[in-house]
Amino acid sequence: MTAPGAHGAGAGIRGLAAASAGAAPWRAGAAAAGAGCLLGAWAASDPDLAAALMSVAVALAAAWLLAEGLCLRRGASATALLGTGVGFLVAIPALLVAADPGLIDLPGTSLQASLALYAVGLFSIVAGVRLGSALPVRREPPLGGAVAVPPLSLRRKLLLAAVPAGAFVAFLASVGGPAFYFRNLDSTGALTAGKTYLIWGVLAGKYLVLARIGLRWQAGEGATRAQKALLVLSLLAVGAVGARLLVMIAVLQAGFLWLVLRPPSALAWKRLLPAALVLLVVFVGLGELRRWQSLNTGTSFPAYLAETGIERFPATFVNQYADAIRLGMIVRSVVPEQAGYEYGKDLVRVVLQPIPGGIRPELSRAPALQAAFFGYADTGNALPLPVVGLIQLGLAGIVVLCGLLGLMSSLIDRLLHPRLRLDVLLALVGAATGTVILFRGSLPNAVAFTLMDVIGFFAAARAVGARRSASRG
Amino acid sequence: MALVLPPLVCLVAAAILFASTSGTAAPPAPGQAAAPAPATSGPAVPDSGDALLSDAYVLAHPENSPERVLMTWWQDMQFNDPALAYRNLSRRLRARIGAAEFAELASGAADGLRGIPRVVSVMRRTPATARVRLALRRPRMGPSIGRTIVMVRDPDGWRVDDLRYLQEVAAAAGAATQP
Repeated sequence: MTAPGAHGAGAGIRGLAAASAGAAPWRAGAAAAGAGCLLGAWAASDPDLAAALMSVAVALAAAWLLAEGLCLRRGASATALLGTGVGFLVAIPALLVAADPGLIDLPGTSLQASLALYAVGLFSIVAGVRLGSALPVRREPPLGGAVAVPPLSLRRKLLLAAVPAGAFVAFLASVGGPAFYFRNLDSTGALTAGKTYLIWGVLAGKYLVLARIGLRWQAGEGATRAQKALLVLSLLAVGAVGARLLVMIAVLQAGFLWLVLRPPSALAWKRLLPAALVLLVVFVGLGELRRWQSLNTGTSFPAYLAETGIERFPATFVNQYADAIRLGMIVRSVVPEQAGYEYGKDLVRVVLQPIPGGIRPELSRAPALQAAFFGYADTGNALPLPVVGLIQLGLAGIVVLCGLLGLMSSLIDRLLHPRLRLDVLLALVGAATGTVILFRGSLPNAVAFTLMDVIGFFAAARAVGARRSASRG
Repeated sequence: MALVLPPLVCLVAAAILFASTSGTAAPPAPGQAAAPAPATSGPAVPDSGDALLSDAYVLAHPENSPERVLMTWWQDMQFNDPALAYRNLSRRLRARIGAAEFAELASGAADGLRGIPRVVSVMRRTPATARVRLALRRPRMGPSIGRTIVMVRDPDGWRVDDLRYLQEVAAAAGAATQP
């Protein structure tokens, strides 16, 4: 259904959102289809048919989440972000693996068990979102009048720029120098371990530039050329300190802030879709570069890409870039038969996480769990939230953790408003993108990075004059 | 309640399915973990022209991992420090071979230990043993060769429990110097 007078991709999405917001029948239909697929899989005797039905149910749950998000503010919502992330990280791999189970080669494990795990997790998130939409919330009062962009003195600009620049130099020095670091991009996980505070310093560049741009957007002005150049520079610095996920999150935050603050326009989607494509190419391209480095094939990167990379892409995608299904297969073969539940040990790890890695006490893991996920590199195994939930408390753990994530996403959406003071608004943007990190990153790391973003954005917005701009308004 | 009812219906169906699915497709062999450790690869070789392991390269391997201990051991051997390397042998091996005998073996194998070994994968079938697969490319020696080194976890940490490669290169060096 398309809104009257609307056209183009943006109009289509707005139309879907309007249709979604209008009434509940679509939810009843989705529930019937989802439950039908799941019960059909339960009754099916053919494992391939069961896997196909379950993958459809998982994809439906992701689409449902996305539709819930699209109901709100033209899709500029934490729930839409989470739905998109879940679609990319779980639903697409689930459909690919159900179509060709040979893509994941893990003898002795069960694809259906992994799909059931994600079905529970995703429908718990949807239930959490629905529950959150009914809870009462107290919103920050919106700004009145026009918002002005306060000027920054040169001294203050230099002082603020020194934070990310200094952190970047210190980071490179701590990982053996730039030459060694950039030749070993396949080992960034090991090289950057224990340097979270330095990475936070580098991320300050992103916080400061986005806060300054956010002020202009809120005042109804566009970003200056210098701000755009600084944004690119800060993203390059973020990319240089390691995980591609950090770059993707930074780009998502910029796009999300833009969607929240800028006036509605079909042009937005015309810009965002190419940006999403560029993001995908960067994500995959960087991943393949790291893979090529680690394989040390002796051929050039373009030759590797042409001969091996593209042909093996579906398998690489489900085993490396979006390996949630694979991790689900492993965890279900280990927990609880070979390794018992941890009964909330990860929550203790969350509390201990702010302590620097070198002196942080390590909580032991069951040997089978250690061997399955952390055998080679403790830094290289980010576990999706449903997997974490299962390890902590089985089925109940999945439902509770995923339900809380959905609740969090829904509450962020209810608090978010374009006329909020920028420090609060940016903190909510950090929390919104944090929902994706919380879903995909291991719980202690994900909570730490989400809090880093929330605090970083809040502090940066104040440092560049968010309070003065609000008081002038 | 009406708000949450539609996803709850699916959640209940998913929970039934979850409870009815088993995590393992087939029972694992006795003493063997059902889930194989994920295939991994270590840090890239810093420079194909280098013949010796640098501290930075060794430290790029995860702390307390079998591959870090193996790289440390390899570096000690490269830098002609058999006494230190001997301490990284497993208790089992130290019971079988004395420090002097090991130093003699290490001296004979010195040439075969040049170059930068790259960790291709680490297979851990049990918590106490690991098989570290290495790609070895010695300077001016053509394509890489593959070797597997067995590591064991002694009470004081991971230790080298495999001298086959050392004996192999020592034997090759001995044969080459025969008149």
